[in-house]
Amino acid sequence: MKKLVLLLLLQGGLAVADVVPVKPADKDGFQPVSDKDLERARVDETIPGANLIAGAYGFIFGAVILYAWNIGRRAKRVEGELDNLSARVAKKLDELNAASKKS
Amino acid sequence: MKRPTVMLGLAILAALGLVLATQLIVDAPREATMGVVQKIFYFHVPCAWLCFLSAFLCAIASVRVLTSRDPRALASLDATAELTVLFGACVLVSGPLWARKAWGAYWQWDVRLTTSLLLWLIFAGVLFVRKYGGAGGTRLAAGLAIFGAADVPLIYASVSLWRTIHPKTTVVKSLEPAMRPAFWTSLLTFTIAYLVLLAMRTALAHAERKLDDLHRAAEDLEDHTA
Repeated sequence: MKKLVLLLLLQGGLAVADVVPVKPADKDGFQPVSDKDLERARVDETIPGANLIAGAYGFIFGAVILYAWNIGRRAKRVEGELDNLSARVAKKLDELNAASKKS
Repeated sequence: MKRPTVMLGLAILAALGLVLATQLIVDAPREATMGVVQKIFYFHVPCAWLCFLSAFLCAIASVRVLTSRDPRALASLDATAELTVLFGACVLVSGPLWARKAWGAYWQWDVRLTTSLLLWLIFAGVLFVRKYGGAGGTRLAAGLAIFGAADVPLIYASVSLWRTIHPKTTVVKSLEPAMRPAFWTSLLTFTIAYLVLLAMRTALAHAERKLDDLHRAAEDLEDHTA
């Protein structure tokens, strides 16, 4: 009798195991989900994802724009210095030429 | 077509691409386990790709600096090293923000993260050596950049070679069709923006070299007249 009960329990266990869905092995990659399902699943979100994404995008945009602006500013300064120095060198060369002509 | 016109065209293309990419990212489906924060991926991966590309280009320029005295190679070294640090910083900031939600912590001493930080530190070192290294600093910076670029394959393969919590490289290949337009548009846009920044920075390096040469010429002239 005991054996019969055990056999029935075992059989029942196996039957339940067949019915209960097994969690699929983690697939490599991202699984898309509809916004509706996501809202239903996200009952108590402790870390606000929107703030993190805003921070990440803000930093990247900011860094690239700041870098481009910085290069532009440096280029303008160097260009100004080049113009000044070129004018000074040209003036000096003219003076030298004039002096050599005199002598 | 003249170079500035091409650069202006590329800059406009990058700006338009950025608008389009943003729209596609907004429209892209959310991810099942991470939700909206997974969308950091669309900027995080292009930044990482450009950081690697820049480090690789810097290594090529560094080899040229060490083997020849070509001033264009030095300009290229300076430009690519700066861009490696810029895009590396974008990776190192956006990644931890994503991780905060996905892993529950900003930082893990995971092999992918650690080797990425190492790459950034090495290239920050290259910039410091170029700025404060004096006469021998150029060769030292070139050597350091080659050493740093050797870290790139290690970073790429780290997720396959070691046990890691970072997503694998296959994540791009296995991307869902609905997520692909946002990713590829973003990658293309960032690459165009990178080319524009590289051209701007290289032009600045050339102008700085011209200014240095002119300073030397002016000093020689002063000595001659004195």
